[in-house]
Order: sequence, then structure tokens, then C-alpha cells
Amino acid sequence: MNAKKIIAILLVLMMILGATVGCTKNSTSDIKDQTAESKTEVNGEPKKEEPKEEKEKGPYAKYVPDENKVYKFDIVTYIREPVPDDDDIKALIEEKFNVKLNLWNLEQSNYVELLNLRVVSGEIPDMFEFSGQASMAPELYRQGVTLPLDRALLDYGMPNAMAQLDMQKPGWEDWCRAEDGIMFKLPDFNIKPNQQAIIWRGDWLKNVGITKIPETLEEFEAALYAFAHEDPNKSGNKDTYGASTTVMQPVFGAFGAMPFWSFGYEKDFSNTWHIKDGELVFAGIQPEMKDALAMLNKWYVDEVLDPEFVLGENQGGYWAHTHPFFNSKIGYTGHGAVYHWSPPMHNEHQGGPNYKELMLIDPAIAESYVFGVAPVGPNGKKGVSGNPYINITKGAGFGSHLADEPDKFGKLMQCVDFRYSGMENSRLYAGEEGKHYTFKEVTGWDGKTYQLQLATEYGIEVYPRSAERVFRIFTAYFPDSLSDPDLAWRKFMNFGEHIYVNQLDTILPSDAQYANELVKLTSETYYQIITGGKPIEYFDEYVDIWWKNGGKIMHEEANEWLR
Amino acid sequence: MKINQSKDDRMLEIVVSVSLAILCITTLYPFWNLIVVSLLPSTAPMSKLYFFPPAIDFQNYLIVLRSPDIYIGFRNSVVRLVLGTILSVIVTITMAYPLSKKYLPNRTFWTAIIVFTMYFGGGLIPTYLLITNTLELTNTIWAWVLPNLVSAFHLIIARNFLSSIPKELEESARIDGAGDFRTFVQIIVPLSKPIIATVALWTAVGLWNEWFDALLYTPAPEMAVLQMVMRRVIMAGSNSFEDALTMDELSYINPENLKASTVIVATVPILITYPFVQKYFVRGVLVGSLKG
Repeated sequence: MNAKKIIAILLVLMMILGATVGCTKNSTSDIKDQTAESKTEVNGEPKKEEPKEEKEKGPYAKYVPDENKVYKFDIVTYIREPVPDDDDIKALIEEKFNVKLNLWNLEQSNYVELLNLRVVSGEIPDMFEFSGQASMAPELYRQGVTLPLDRALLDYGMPNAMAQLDMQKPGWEDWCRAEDGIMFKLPDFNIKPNQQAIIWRGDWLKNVGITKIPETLEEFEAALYAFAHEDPNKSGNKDTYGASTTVMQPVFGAFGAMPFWSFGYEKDFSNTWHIKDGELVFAGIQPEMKDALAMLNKWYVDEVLDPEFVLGENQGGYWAHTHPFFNSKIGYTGHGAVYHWSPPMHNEHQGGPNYKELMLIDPAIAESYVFGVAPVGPNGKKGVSGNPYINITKGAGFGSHLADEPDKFGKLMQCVDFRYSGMENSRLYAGEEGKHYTFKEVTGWDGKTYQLQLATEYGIEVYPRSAERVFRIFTAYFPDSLSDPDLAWRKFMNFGEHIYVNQLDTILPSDAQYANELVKLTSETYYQIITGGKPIEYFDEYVDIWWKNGGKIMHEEANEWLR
Repeated sequence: MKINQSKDDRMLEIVVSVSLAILCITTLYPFWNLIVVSLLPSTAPMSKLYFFPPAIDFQNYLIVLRSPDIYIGFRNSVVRLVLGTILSVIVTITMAYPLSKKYLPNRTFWTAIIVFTMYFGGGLIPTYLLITNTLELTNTIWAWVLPNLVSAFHLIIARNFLSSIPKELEESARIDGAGDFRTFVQIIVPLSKPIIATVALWTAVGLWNEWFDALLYTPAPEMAVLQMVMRRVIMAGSNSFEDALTMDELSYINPENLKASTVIVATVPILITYPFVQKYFVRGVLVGSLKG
């Protein structure tokens, strides 16, 4: 053999070696096998044969934790900052429950990737917080990584948490079932209603003689035309427009579909699907959209739309800032979410980021803008994009190995349940009063007195961080406590009542192949029709192209998933 | 010089200078803008574009420098940079030297093995398993240094540079009685300063900017590197993470200028090392790449 042959053989060997290294003792197939067993075990569990003395104590006797045992829990939560091993809130929780905690510090921005990596390498936590991707929880369940859940057992193990869930969203179980009908996760809620902002320049409305906030599409159109042509800023010049990029959402919403995702992606069309007549349909190709586009095109030609609307309303810097609105070029905007535009929530609050920014630019504008409503279209439809109450990308689950350690699972359920057993108990996770948090009485926007819970480290109310997310499934809500003026404001304003959401809560097999191309096609077509680059009749051709270039396959897959 | 210039030549010179100047400005301006934004007081509207800050306020820098995370990150990044660079240079040069010798047995074979790693890798999961389970490097400084200790590319460049050193120099050292090691240390290394500086700078910049391995292998808070701290600050204000803020936080955090000052704090240290090694750098790249 000559040297070249040896090299060739070696190269091949190394490639084989490289390919097999990842499949040694901890490979995914192993996890699947292991958990396939445990799954069957759990599914039939309550009816399974049990030792006699346990039967007498009821079917869940084996879930009673051992009082003398110090359980060690591996918990992965979606944290903003890593928790040090000697964190004092962590110590507090450990002491309270007599447990040991091992918290995985996974960086938020690569959460899914890092968690998958750990799972593939054989490390499975006892409790998961899902986040970042709707497909994450079902995928983990399908691979047998997470435990199938049984409502009766959960009612036994964490009655308070279940009662809270039923109170917050009756019928939540339907959102948490896999295709085999088994519940694979517990839900997390967007407890604060949230939707795309609908903002009018109040002083402009007054200047053009409109006293009522537009409610129908005709009134909406009339206000925008007045902003564009009736000199709302009294400058004597034609230097204003009605609206810019973010006017698209309420218009599409009035016609009955929303080819956009949530706020933060205002100018980017997306792969959004709605259920229509029991069938999932792609929002972008709905025939009503043709009328919406014709209307937007008319506005563009009549110079009601900002000619720069293709560029989006944000021109750099903080993403929720809308430059044309801040610079008094347009009188309507839907840029950002409602909380960006919120006025001060209490006597010490400075207002949402956009309110605050406008206070610096020109307090008169900040004081004059008003929240509008989504206009009602010709068929009575209305809405903008928003967050549904159940947050589909989030939720919590448990490691499938707990099926073999029922007492440990019982202990875990006890620990979780404590958080939902009353306002006082739920504060344990924020640490000690005086040391980690203090209370402060403020006067809310509505004149009521609110008790704010402030983090002493920051001196302001902060989102629970680090160890505070341990043993958490969803945000507890105790209606009697006046602790959150922001939540009260959002409920008062009826935010989140008329919203469109993407109802295709999964990743389709053909997504990787077609989704991006088809969304790009939609985006280009829409912008071209609005700016007059293509006639309105082109819409039919676009629908045709959509069906022929993968749309049909996606449609079939989507409806298969729905069934 | 200008005596013999024709009109065309002058035109060309103007066009070239102007376009290079524009290119230069477009490269420098974002950095300048970052400096301006980082110095803006919180009372200045953030949505406006400033060429000069209307007022200078070091508040953002104070906030950044007061955060303990920055110092932990800084310390870790420096430890990583110094340790990683020294080890990497030693290993690269000592390996490149024998490879540059024609009389090394099976030289092409060894070179082929090294080149092989430039085209094929184990993939993320096997690498992760190797480092965490087999080598057990989780949360140790070695996880930052060992996995990428030798870069095949640097090694090839160094080998090419070393083979350009005349062998007569080594022969004369041998006549004077020097052994292999002494020849290497006293003759070869001093002659290889340009390539050492080049490899060191490349490695150092790479190590300074790298964050993904720290994300994977050193998740403990006390093991955060500066780039991870910076990433966290920047991500905190982006639209996908904002849902997790309270109204209070949204109101008090002024993300853009804080982000800008964090970026400046993280970038400036590596930026100021460039001028010191630049004269070796250019020479090293040129000489190393010319001979194959």
C-alpha cells in the first residue's frame, strides 16, 4: 500500500469515528427507548396493579414524599441572569421546602438550542420551563423527554395550582394536548392583555373637526384623509400624511385576516394562518385582502399614506420608536405595543417608553395622543395583532424519569403548589420583605391606592428574576390584591379583546422548504400592489403562484395538524 | 511627483480619494455614532440623530462600570485572552517548525491530517459531549482555551513562514554546536517575530470576541466572559424579550445609550492593542502567505 491509500483509509475511518462519537451511551435513540417504557407505565398508571397497603391509602399513596429525604431537583427556567450557587433567595427556597436545587443557567437568547443540546447529551431536568418556540414542548414530549400528565394526579398533587388554572382560563387543557390526546405541558398565560397600539394625534383630530374617535372603517378613512389634506398642524403647507406602515394591520383586520405576527415585526409579513369554516387558511391569500389592498393603494395614490411607508416607521435606535409620528409627519400610528404608549401608571411612574420619549421631544404631543379602537370593516370584522391569553410558546413540564420516582414527583408538585396557595405564599419566591423587596403605596392612574412590590436592589418594580422563577408554571393572579396598576389599566382599556393570532401553533414539515419564500412573495406582492407597481388584478395571479409553489402542500399539512 | 501627471491621472486620483474617503466615513461613522449615543444624557430624545451630543453625560458609563458583572467578565476575558494566546502561540509555533522541515518523516501525511480538520469537524453535539462528559471541562477556564487551541489555518501560515527561513542559518548554528532545541529558541524564534505577532493577534481577537463556547461550557455566573455580559445587556432591550419587563423597568431603563456604552467598554481594550502589533502584523501576513 502506498501512502496515499493509507491516507484515504484513515480519512474514511476518521469520518466514521466522527459520525459515531455522538451516538455512544447517551444518544437520543436511547432516550426514546427509555421513555417509551416509562410512558406506557404512566398512561395506565392509576389502574395499574399496586401493593395492597398502598391501595388502601388510595391510588396516589406512592406520590407521598418521604419526609426525611432531602430531594434534589434539577430545574431549568427561562431566566434573564444566571443564578449563582450561593444565591440567597435560592437558599431561602431550599430551606423552606428542605430540598436541594440545581438551577441550569441557560442563556435566554439561545434557550431552545442550549436546552436541546443538554437533553441530547442525556441530561434531563426534573422541571422544564418551555420558552421561545411553540414546537419545543410537543417535540420534547414526542421524544419521550417530558412526562405525560394526568389531570386527576395533578388535582391530587397541586390542587391550588389547578384551581388557579381553571379560574384563569377554563378549558386550558385543550391547549396542552399532543396529537395522541395526552396532556404534555401546563400552560403559561399572558396575564396582561396586550395588543398592537392604535394611536391618534388628539390635537390633529380636533383641528380637522373630528370629535369622536373613529370606530368604523369609513370614519377611519375620513380621519386619515383629513390629516393628509386639511392641514391638521396649521402650518399652511401640505407637510402631513394620514399614516404610515402600521396602518396596514387595522385595515387588514377590518377585512377579516391578518398576515402579520405580533408587534415588533410591524413591516414584516409573516406565515400567519387563521381557522375559517373549520379549516386552517393562510391569511395572505384571503380574497378579502384584495379589497384591503385596493383601499391602501387608493390611499397611497391620494398621498394619504406616507410615501416612505415601505421603509417602516422605525429608523434605528429603540425598536418601538416611530420616527414619522414623533416628527409630526403622520397623525396615526400602530407602531409598538400598547405598553409602549401607556401614560404614567402611578404617581411615580414616567410612562411607557414612547410616552416618555415624546415628553422629551414635545410634551404637547405626549399629552394629546389618544388610544383608538380597531375600525369595523364592511363585514363587521375588526382587530389588530395581539397576544392570546394562553402563551403558546411557554408552559412547564416535568422530566419523564419522574415516572420512576413517584415520591419525588409528589414533592415537586407540593413545592409548585405552594406558590398558588395565596398571595402571601407566592411572595416567598421574591425573597424576604425588607431584604429583597419592600412595599410602596402609590396612587394609580385611576386614583386608587396600589401596593407595589419593589425590588430593593433596583428600587423599582422588576420582573421576577433568577431564583424567583423556581417551581413556577404560570403567573399567579389574586383578583383582590391591588398590586398592579398596569394590569388594571389594560383591563380597563379592553386591550386584547379584538385581536388576530396565528392559529397554526406548530412547525410544519414543509416550513423549511416553502414558508420563507412564500412569505417573501406575499410581502413583495402586497407592497407592489399598494405602491401601484402592480395592478390590483395581480392579486389573483399571486394567489395562483402561492398555491403552485408549495402553498398547497403547506395547506394540506396544516389541516392535517389541525385534525 | 505632480509634474508629469496628466489630466486623467489627476481625475483618477480624485475619484479614488473621494471614494475611499466615503468608504472610510461609512466605516467610521457607526462607531462615532455609538460614542455619541453612549454620551447622551437621559434627558435627550433618543429617536433623534446626533452628530455631536447636545450635552455630555458620563452617567451611562458609570452605570456600566458600577455593575459587578462587567468586572467579572473583564477579568475572565483577560485571563482567557492571555492564557489562550500564550498557549496557542507556543503550540502553533512548535508544531509548525518541524512541519516546515523537508526531512520530517511523512511530512505530507501530517500536514494532510491538519488540513483535514479545516474541512471536517465533529459537529456541535459530539464536541459538546467530549468537552462536558469526557473531558469534564464544564465551568473551568480550560473549556475556553483547549478546544480551539490550535487553528489549522494559523498553523499552515506559520509553517509557510518558517520554511522561508534559509536553512543555512540553522546549519551555521549547528556548526557552532547548538542542538535542535537551542537552534529553535535562539535562531528561529527571534526570526519569527512577525508570524508570532500575527498568530497572537488573530488568536487574541478571536478569543476576545468569542462567546458561544462560554455560553455552552461555562454557564456559572462567575465564569461569564465580557462578551456574554454585553450580549445580555443588548438582548435585554430587544423586542423578543421585552414582554418580560415590568412597566417600571420599561420606564427607567434607557436601553440604547446603556447598550452603546457597554459596547464601547467591551470593544476599546482590544481596539487599542492593534496599533502596537500592527507593524508586525502586516509583515507577518504578507510573508507567511507568499511562499507555499
